[in-house]
Amino acid sequence: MSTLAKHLNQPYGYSCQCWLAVDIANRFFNYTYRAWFSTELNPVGNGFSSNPLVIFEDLDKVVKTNDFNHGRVDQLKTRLCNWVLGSSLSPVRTANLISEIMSAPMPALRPQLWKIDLSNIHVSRIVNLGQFYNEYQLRDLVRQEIEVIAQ
Amino acid sequence: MSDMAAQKAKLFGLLGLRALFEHDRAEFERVADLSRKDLDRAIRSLIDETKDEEAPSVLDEIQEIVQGTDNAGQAGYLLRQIQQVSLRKAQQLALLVPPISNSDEYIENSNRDDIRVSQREFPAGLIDGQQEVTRLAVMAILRRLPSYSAKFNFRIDNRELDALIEPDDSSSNLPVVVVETKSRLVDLGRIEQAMLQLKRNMKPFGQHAIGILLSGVVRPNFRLEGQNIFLLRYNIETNALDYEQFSAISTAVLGRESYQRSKRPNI
Repeated sequence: MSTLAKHLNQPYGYSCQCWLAVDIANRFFNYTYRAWFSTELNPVGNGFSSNPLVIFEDLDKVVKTNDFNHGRVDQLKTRLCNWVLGSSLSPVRTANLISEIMSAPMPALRPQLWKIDLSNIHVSRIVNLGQFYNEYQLRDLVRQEIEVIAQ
Repeated sequence: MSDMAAQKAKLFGLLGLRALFEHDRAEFERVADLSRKDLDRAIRSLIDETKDEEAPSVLDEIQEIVQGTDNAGQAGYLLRQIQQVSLRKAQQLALLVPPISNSDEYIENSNRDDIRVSQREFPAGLIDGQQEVTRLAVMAILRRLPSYSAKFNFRIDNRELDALIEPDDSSSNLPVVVVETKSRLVDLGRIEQAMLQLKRNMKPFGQHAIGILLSGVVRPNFRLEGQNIFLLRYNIETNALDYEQFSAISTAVLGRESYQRSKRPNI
């Protein structure tokens, strides 16, 4: 099988997700996760916006210090709203989720750092390349393919 | 009343996404899986359903800015404003919608929809060797054509194309690329047959379309006559495209200078 590990020549992918995104995916997207990942934990060639380690550090600090005025909070909530808006969920469910995201307390935004086992993922599951060189997207990750290495 | 508020919330949210698509494509792709066509279709359908008077003018405004503003910085600023205002409006409208009960049936239904989508897009176990070559090679091609996106097993006029590679900005003058994969392209008769098939597949996309005949095994030292159909050898073991063959394709698609700018190392 042509796996992502073979194709990208790296055994693992790394991604940062917040608890609320995972929870929404569990409840409404059948435990299937849409994730951007890079093949390094700290891909120095990527910008900060697609560096899993930097995102984790930022979000972790923001949540632990209850820094609700930090730009990351607004950015994350906007991204979650846009994700839900662009999905196939009904308008009523979408509106309910938007309300939920907007009123989510800070702990709901706590980050998880994921290690994705690329050796069992077929290359055809990559659906997008990102803005930076080491940035790839999967839309159909399942729990068994992910290890939470920090939260 | 609450259904209408929900539909309007979704409508304005999608208008925000439409503005985001125009001013920050990378961010749009990080958050949404919709193509521009699907997005426009969803917006139009919600405008028809809600009969909202403001939404069409927001959509027109987005299009006017995209088409009429020469200053990219100014256009970006204006589109960002529209994106933010539209999302805020969606959020305000969402607050008017009472929560629906978390019935198991509802959750099950929404889950089922998404399973259907993912099964349609990723037919597990149905990827044969030829499709694998197509997908791997197209990934390698996209690395060098960063302003393009690919669709696999694309259906048009009762035909199925192995892959269609389209410019993200459909209003640009960049050509679409139609890919036809064959297990071997050695025998001259087979090559000719494959070319005819590819030409038929390219027809709906007009005379500027570029065609690629892709294979892991290609007749050595063989070049196709003509300006818009190219042979391309892809080595699945090393994940490498034939450099010379791909240079000719890239030049035809982007032009010589653009190719140098877009050249990126192998993955």
